[in-house]
Amino acid sequence: VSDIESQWAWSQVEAAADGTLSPAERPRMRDAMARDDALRKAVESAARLRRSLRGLRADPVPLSLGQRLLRIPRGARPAHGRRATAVALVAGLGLASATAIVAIALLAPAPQTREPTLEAQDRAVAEFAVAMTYLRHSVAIAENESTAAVRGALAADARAARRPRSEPSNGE
Amino acid sequence: VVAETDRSGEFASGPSAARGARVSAWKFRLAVTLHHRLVYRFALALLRDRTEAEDVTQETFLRYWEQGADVRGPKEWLLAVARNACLDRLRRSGRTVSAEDCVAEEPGDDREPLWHLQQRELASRLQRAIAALSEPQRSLVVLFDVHGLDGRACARILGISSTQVKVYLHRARRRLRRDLEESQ
Repeated sequence: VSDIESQWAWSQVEAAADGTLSPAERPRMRDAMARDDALRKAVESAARLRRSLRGLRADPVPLSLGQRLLRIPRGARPAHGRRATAVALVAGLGLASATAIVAIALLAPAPQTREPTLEAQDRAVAEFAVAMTYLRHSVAIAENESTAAVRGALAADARAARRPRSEPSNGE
Repeated sequence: VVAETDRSGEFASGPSAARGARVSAWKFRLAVTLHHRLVYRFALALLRDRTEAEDVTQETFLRYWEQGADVRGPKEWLLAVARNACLDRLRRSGRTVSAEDCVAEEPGDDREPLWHLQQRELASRLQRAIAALSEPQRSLVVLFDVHGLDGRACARILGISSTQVKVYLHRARRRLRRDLEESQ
């Protein structure tokens, strides 16, 4: 029995270090560790390794990286080829010239449209992600409830079908 | 690079993922906001060079922008693409990078300077030991143990089974423990 227990304990070293042993297995492992010093050291070593590995993810990320990545859509070439690019360029130039002429003619000040900052866009995207998470949860809850309701209705139908019907009397 | 990348995991079987259309702007921004840190840190752990890790992260997200319209799980797709980009770079150049350049910066606290020194040394030894692992054990340790992805996600990214994940992880941890004990 002791050998079997020892084999089991040695097969669970990583689970013990990860903290993924079940509540029933924990006291069993504790007893095995109390009896076997090498096993205790192995679990401690595995736990130390796990803590150290988790510590590595604190690598700082360059602040500018996210900003540069968010600019990819602006800097990327259009997907429809050179000819389309040339047409778009000519059309754009024409449109810009016409706009400039109209603006000069009317002596109007330049439009003061301001794009939202990248930080504001990031905040909006993060809020959107949270909203989507809530939405997903709501959908899951609604699905569960509707599934339960349908099951309940089906069960009721089944019960009704099994119930012996009172045959209509024909008076004979 | 495209051919290499598409070999990885379940993403190899999805031609739409390889030659798909552009992803929408909001999906792209969402992916950058949620995943760029993980992709960068994963690339840094494999390449151990900050500049190259940034390049790989940019390449990965550029590819997602250009071809990611049909991608279902962007996080896993991005990590698979980043991993293959890293492996390509490692294969092309047989260089080694000093681990001290990549040691995590400790946040300021009240601990003794000696503690910080010991932690940096440990992190440095650990990174060298991880770098010495073979693939896919190295990627697996980084994804599972360092970044906490679950076994199924790791299996999909690396194109291996869940059983293989357990086996490789067990071997990798045993090797890391041995290397750390030997270097002490």
